[in-house]
Order: sequence, then structure tokens, then C-alpha cells
Amino acid sequence: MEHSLKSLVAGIPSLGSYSAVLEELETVLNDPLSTLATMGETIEKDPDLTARLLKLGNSSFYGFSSRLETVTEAISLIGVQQVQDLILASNVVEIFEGVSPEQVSMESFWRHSLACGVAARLLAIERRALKPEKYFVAGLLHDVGRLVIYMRAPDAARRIFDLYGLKRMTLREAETNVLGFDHEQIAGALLRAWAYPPNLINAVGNHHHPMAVGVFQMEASLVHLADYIVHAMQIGSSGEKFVPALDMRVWKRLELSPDFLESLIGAVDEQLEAAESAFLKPIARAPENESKF
Amino acid sequence: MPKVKLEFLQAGMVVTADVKNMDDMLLIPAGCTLTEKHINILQAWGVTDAQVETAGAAEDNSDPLQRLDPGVLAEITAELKEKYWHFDETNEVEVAVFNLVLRRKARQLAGK
Repeated sequence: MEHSLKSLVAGIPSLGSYSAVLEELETVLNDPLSTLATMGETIEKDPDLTARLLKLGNSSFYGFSSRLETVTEAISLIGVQQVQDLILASNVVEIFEGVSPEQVSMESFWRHSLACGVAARLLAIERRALKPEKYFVAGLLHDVGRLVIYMRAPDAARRIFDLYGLKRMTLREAETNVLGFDHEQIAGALLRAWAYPPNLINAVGNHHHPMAVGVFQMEASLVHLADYIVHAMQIGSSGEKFVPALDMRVWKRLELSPDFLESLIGAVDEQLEAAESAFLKPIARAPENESKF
Repeated sequence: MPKVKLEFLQAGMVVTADVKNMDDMLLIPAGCTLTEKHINILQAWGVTDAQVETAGAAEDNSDPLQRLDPGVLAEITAELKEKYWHFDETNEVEVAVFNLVLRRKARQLAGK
């Protein structure tokens, strides 16, 4: 095989590394004298990020009763860790900017990914899981392994899609056929290289078979179900045209009521719009690429 | 009346059954129109859902699939089925998701 998992993911800058704000925020967080206001001010140095956070904070994503005016307010209502997760998420599109595979439209790819993040977060809220934003990040990143293929191995991507078009197989099977491994494993390797927390690696790296490790994994299970739902809703695509198989053991373990599915599907449609305008669309003020401090 | 999860409750919805906390204390009486403040109260008490009649319920109650031209319905059903590798008609979750997505599609078509 001309590609190895290691060589494919080597040198891809991690999400956080693109953000000067995140770095400074880290310092601020480690300072015992910091207050919410200092954290807010740190973020507000980046007008683009500030606009995105406030847009999201004031959208149906959160449904707060009063309007958020400052990042400090947003942090106090959403939580520090959650805001950090959202900043990470807002970086992901940037990292893979310039990747334009011939087989998949990037717009469609990100729509699918965002919708999966939105659905995973809603499922996490329904399951009363802690820190639902982390599920949003997991959903957003669930197919990032495919982007790595498109970016690093366009030749292999071509062969994968040729095979996928010819034979009755899933895109994942075609990936394994051509590369010897699939997008799930690539994403796992990438997130390991980025030193991401194990639960996020598991959630992304096992979203097609969340029961594989033998134990029930909440994170991977929620992403699995979220992926299934948004595939059925046909919101965007990362390349796969078919609805993936739903592992019923996962469904049973999640103990969700089938009645919840209706409100879930409605809420995904509603919140996807908010998420798209916060994460994908350029914000009116042009972002400055260089750090200003 | 359907029970609506806290996450999806909105100001303006009318509560159709008393909402009580775990100690059976009355928080919101039946017939009351929800405000944001009520929703915050429910959140504070850890109430997970409430029985409501939504303002738009009456018009939404009619099944969008029944208003659809049978030919178009057959077409979108077939289209959706093609998106599945093997659709398991005995699997209640798959069937539930399929029907919801079909209704969503019908609503989208009607909205056009």
C-alpha cells in the first residue's frame, strides 16, 4: 500500500493551532486571577470569532430568553469549556480550506458534518449527557477522515470512487479496499496525532460500529445515531450516498423514546440554519488572518 | 396532547395539564400560556417536559402526506427507499425515521 495511516495524517495542523485566541485563552484560564470578563475580553480581540459566537448564542441553538450582547455573557451562560469547544469547531473549516475534491462538494460535506454535530448535540441534551458541545464537535468531525483522503491522497480518492461506482459496496468498504483502512481509522489516527481526549477519538473513530470495543460507548453511540438520522434526512453528504446501517443494540442502549425522533428532526432543521451561519458563512466583517496582538 | 421536551418548549405554547415538580408542587397550572420565565422555572426545577397545545398544532395536525398527490407520494417514497442499502420494514426505528423523513419531504414540497 502506498499510503499508511501515519503518513496520511502526519503534519496536518490541529484545530486549536490555528487560533491565537485559543492559545491566549488557555493562558488566561490558567491564571487564578482571571475572571469571566478577562476571558470575554480575550475572545473579543477577535471580531470575527466574537460575531460568530454571539450569532450562535442568540440563535435557536441555545434559545436564551434575553439577547446576549457580550462574549462575557455568552461564557457565563454557555460555560467556559463549551465556548472553547465552539471555538475549536469554528476552526475546522479553516484547516481544510482549499481542499476541493472532484467527487464531493465541500459545501455538501460541511452541511452533512454540521447537521451530524447538531443532531449529536441534541441527542446528548436529550440523554442529559454532560457537556453537549463536545458531541457537537464529535459530530462535526465524524467524517474528517474522508477529508484527509481527499486532501492527502487524491489519487486514492479517485480509485475509491471508481470502485464505489462500479460495485455494490459502501464507500467505507471501497476505502478499505483501496487503502487497507477506512475514514474512521484515519480520523482516529488524526485525532490521536492531535492528542485529542480519548472519548472524542472513540466517538469519531467508532461511529460506524460503536459497540465494537465490547462496551457501550455513549459518545460513539450518539454520533452513530446522529449520522444515521441526518443521512436519512439527506442533509449534505461526505461522499456516501446511502443511509448507513443502524445498530439496533445502540438504539436500545440509548433508551430514547421513538416519539423523540420527531422533535429531533424538526430541531435539526431549525438549528442547522443557525449553525451554518455561525460556522460556515463568512461573517459580514472580514476576518483578519494575522494575529493582532 | 403531546408531551413536549423542555428543550423544545417555547413561549406562547399553552400548557394543557398541570406541571408539577418532583415534590408534587404546582409550578404552572393547566391552561396557562408559557412565557420565557415559566420555561426558566421548569429548567430550574429539573422538569423535563410538559403537555402543551402548540399554537400551530391545529393546522399542522393534518397529515402532509395525505394532501400530497398520490403519484408524487409514490415517487418520493421510492426515491427515499433507494437511499437505503437494505431497508428493514420490521424495524420500528427505521420505519419511524423513514416516515418522519417522508413527512418532512412532503412538507418541503408543499411549502414550495
